[in-house]
Amino acid sequence: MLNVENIKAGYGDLEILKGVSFKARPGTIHGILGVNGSGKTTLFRTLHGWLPKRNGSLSLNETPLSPKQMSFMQTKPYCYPYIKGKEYLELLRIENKDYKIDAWNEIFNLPLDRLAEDYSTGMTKKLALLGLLAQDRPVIILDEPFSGVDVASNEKFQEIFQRLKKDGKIMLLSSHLLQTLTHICDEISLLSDGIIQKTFQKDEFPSLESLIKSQIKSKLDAQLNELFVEK
Amino acid sequence: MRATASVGWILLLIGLPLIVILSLGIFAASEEGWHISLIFAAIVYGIHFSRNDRQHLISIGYEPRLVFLAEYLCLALLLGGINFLLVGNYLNLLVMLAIGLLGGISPQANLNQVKDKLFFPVNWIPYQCFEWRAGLRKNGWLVIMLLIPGLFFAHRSPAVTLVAIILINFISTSWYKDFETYELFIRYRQESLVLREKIGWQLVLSFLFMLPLAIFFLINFLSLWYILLVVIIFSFAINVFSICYKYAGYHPSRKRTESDLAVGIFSLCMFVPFFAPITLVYLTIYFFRAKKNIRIQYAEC
Repeated sequence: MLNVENIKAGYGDLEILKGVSFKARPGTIHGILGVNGSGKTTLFRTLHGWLPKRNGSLSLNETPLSPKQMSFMQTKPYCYPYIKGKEYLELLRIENKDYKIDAWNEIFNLPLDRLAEDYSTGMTKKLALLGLLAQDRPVIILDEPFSGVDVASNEKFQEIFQRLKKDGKIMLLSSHLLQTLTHICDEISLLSDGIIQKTFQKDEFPSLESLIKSQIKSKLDAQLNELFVEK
Repeated sequence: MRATASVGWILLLIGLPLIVILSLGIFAASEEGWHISLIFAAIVYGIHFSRNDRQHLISIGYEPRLVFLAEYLCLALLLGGINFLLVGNYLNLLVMLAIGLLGGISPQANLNQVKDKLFFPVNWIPYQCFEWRAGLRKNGWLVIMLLIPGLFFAHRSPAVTLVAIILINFISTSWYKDFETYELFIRYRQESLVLREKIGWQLVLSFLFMLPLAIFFLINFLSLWYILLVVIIFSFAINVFSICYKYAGYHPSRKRTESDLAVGIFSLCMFVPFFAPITLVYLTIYFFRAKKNIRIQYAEC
């Protein structure tokens, strides 16, 4: 069980996470939902140790969480200049020699003998996913994994995530698209105002969808009414 | 500013002008023939094929070729002119002017298009030395351009080989200005392995590249072995500093070191007798800073 307890973090004087708490079970996909700027990426960066937390604790099975127990796929993955796709994967599988680079690459057919920096956004994302699989870590963090990926690869991503879930991984995933999250996740935490407002279980997803829609609609209606009257 | 402050203003304000004067003086006063100009050629063409300011010059209304030509000719005139004035050697001046002229008018290859084809063979380098693999793809041809005169003209002057060794090491230190991803950074079993492995491989590989030059140097100028030893030790120190500097400032959210100027200043100051001991103090400081930062980055979340 991944336990995120009262995490506070930010940049300079700006505190973005004001006490985030949630739990994620092994063999589940836990979605993080929030509007742009709500702090999803900040949360993931803090979990992965990129950003020092100002308060709170992170534990996996009641022991402090180490960055080496996590894999993190960024929204815009970055490798290293002048490095080939295959080299990147070779470096990442250093502790997992069972990982067969060519066999896994048959799913995406990436040109692994080319420089990673020449890859398109979607190809870089696929390479990042292959790298993440090469590491074989218990906690997987995916920040907007589907953005910039074509339809076929989107399906492949989802299928791989389901397999990882069956494999007992703890997966945290963010998306701007509610439908994507409700389709793939087992539970969704709503991040707003720097805290998790509520965690919704699968059977509560319809109520989450109606809550989001009603919130957006009521606010938008009021704004549009005002603007159209002014016009 | 922070980078220069971190390596010490004293090195920058006093060391750098001293180095420039000393280097120019030694270089320009050389009575050697045109082979010294080959080193100049390596520098000019190295700059020419690496510079990224073409588009910027066009955008501000300058013809890049004219600017390049003017810059290279000025450099040739400065060095070749001083050489001519001091030792009356007009040959170097003419060769340098020709090199500058050729550099200015030769087309700049689009490295993005041709870098796949220009790859230096790197498959023999272990994967964990990805900085070397990436660096040799980027600057491998420049290393070859230094190795060739360093080897072929080693019998003419000790300076040629020594300058080639120093420049190859300068190039290899520049490969440590890019940060790897956090995933690559934390792939070691223990944090203590990061510096140990990086420094170890860096010394092995840089020594491999220095070895043929060193052998040729010793064959021709055995009596000057102590100068070669000093150059190799200084080169190792520069290599170690570039790694320590990188990891002292490593952060997963950044892609590059603050500035490669710091390593440049450190490297140049190593070759000034008065500053060499001071730079060794900086090396020690940065070694411990790097160790501390790696420990922080590897710490539990």
